[in-house]
Amino acid sequence: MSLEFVGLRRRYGEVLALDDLSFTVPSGQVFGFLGPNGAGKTTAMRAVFGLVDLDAGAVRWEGAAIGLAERRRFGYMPEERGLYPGMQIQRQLEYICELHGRSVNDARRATTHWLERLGIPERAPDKLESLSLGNQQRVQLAAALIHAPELLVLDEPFAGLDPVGIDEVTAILAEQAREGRGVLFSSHQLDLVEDICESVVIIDKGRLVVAGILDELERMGSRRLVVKVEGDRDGAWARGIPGVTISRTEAGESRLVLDDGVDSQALLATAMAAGPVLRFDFERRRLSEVFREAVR
Amino acid sequence: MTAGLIALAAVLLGIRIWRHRYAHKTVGAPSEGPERPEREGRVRGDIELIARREVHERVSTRVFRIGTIIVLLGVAAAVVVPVIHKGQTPIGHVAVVGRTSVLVRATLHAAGEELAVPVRITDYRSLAAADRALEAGRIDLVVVDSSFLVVKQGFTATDTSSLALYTESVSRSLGVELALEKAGIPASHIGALMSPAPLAITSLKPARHTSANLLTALYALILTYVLLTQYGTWLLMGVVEEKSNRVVEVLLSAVSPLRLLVGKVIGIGLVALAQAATIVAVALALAAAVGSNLVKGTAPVPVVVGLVWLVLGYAFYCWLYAGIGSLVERQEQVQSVAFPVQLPLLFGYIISFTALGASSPSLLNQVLAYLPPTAPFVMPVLFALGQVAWWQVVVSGLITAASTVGMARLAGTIYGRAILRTGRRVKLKEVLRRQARPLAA
Repeated sequence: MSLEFVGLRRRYGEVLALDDLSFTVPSGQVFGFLGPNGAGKTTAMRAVFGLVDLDAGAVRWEGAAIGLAERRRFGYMPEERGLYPGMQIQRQLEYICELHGRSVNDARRATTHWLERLGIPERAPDKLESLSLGNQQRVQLAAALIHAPELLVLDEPFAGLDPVGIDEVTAILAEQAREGRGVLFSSHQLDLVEDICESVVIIDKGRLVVAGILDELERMGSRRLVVKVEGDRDGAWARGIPGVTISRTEAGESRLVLDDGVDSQALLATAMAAGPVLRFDFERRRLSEVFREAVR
Repeated sequence: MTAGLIALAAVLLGIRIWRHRYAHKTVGAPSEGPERPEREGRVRGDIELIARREVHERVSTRVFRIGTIIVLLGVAAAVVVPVIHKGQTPIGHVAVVGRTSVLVRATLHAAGEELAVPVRITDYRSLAAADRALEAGRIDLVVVDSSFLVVKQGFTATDTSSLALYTESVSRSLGVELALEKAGIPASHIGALMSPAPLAITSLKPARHTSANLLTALYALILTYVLLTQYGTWLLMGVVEEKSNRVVEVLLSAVSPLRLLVGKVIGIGLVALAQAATIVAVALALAAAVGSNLVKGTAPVPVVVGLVWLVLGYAFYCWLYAGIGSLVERQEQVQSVAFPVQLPLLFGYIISFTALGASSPSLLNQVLAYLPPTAPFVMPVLFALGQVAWWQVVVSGLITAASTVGMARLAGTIYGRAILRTGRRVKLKEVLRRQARPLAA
């Protein structure tokens, strides 16, 4: 099962919010959706639920167009949130669950389950507005999960959560993916995305700039080495070797960028000749670097 | 009463059919077998769900309960007070000074009987003492030497108070008596001349309406206006609330805009109907208990007709309120969009008062009784006053019902196009443009 964005295009006046955006979100993994502010993430996510009238393109689920019947099997957490502030939490969650086609019994069971899972079962009879922002956020997540959807689309689910809340939500997303559901979420917290996602897409100005498995993305680009040689302070041993650039030295560790043709084993031999090698390590690119390069 | 019950039954039946037709299938669950599923395991239709939520959220608020109690108390007062008031007719205190014949005393009592005001007559020795008593309010009228009358405050030409009418009557009668006496008619004859047997009046048709009908029409008019404005505002605020806090995005990911709108309208409509029916039932029951003329003769029929028109009026106006609610997303913008809708409501309400006072309907009222925005006000008044026939009420009702369908379509279009446009107030012109795109599904 997969969610496909196919050639999405949407213009708001002068602004091109989506510019021929295409990518696929496979089910069974946590999928990160990244991009700077105003890149078009929210517009693309709203398009899944028919909340945006597209100028061109379509969103597909299992290869077919998405109608109301499909949407009822999706869970959505909008960026600006959206529940009734003055309505009791229990009634509210049951209502949303039933609206998605579940029975009265299912709705009651699921509400109890999720409120317990999120650690707020005692708040069931309270009005939403009486909760702290973090707990309101938990209820909002419960509203997206309550009907056991096949696909979760979460717009900034971590915004406003404390570290404990982040851990809870992370665990839930991973668990949902393990159960074979599609999990697409957007975030600005790149370290977090790095920890929990298998794949990401990065969009900028409505256009796709990077897509792929996170592991591969982080290995892509020039090879980078961290080398520490005893007694060496400024990486003098590596100076002058063709294809090797010293990008930074810090506390006796030199960060080197290697051109494609450079033999790392020959480099190791050179380092050993300069003194005992304490560290010789290939370094991955951080997701934040991938991001910055992509949207530069 | 029967018509009211039929209307209620029709609404409930309509909801049942709707629920049956639109109940959607359980996701991933086996389809319903021939056996009826257990009630708790039932999957409710989306319109039913939305309507239930509206009913529950409205009825459970303290504002609603207290408001209903206040309205009921007001209605109870309006029914009971006139009855109590009638039972305690004030007594007219008349002072007589100087020469007063038995005939004059009889005339003073007779004039009181005509107005259903018992009269007590007190003899005063001097005019000065009587004047003091008049000044102090202990007496209402002084008759001096059977030849002139003194009151505390002069009357205007249009004064219809009991005292003014009584004084006028006494003044005429005593004048006639004086004239007869001067003409040499013996006192024994004057008594007979002053109380002749009135001639019988027969009419080709019965009176158009009773004072009870008039009162019913007035109450129905006020109730219709107050409730339509209130429930319309509920709908408007309900739509604005969902748009402003973005609940609508979550809802529209599961139901279509039109169904969401229909569910809201039905839910709030049911609350409105139940509240109005309660008010009317309490009014009629109280009226029967205290013997008000609200339940005598044909008076209950206009009550029921008024209730049916309240339902028709709600059906017409609710779409308008809900539709324009989708144009705004902040409470402070509500007033600017609500005003144009309230204008025809207010116009129909005020113009109906002119019908209440007229003996035959004006051409304007005859026309307005058939126009859907004003018919819910004008038609029940004209009917209560006996100025239109049954069939005319039915024709006007059908016109309103038919235009309600058009109104619902228009509101559905506006709502579907405007509800997701956020950030600023949406102009009606923008959503009604042909190229404006409706929401998918």
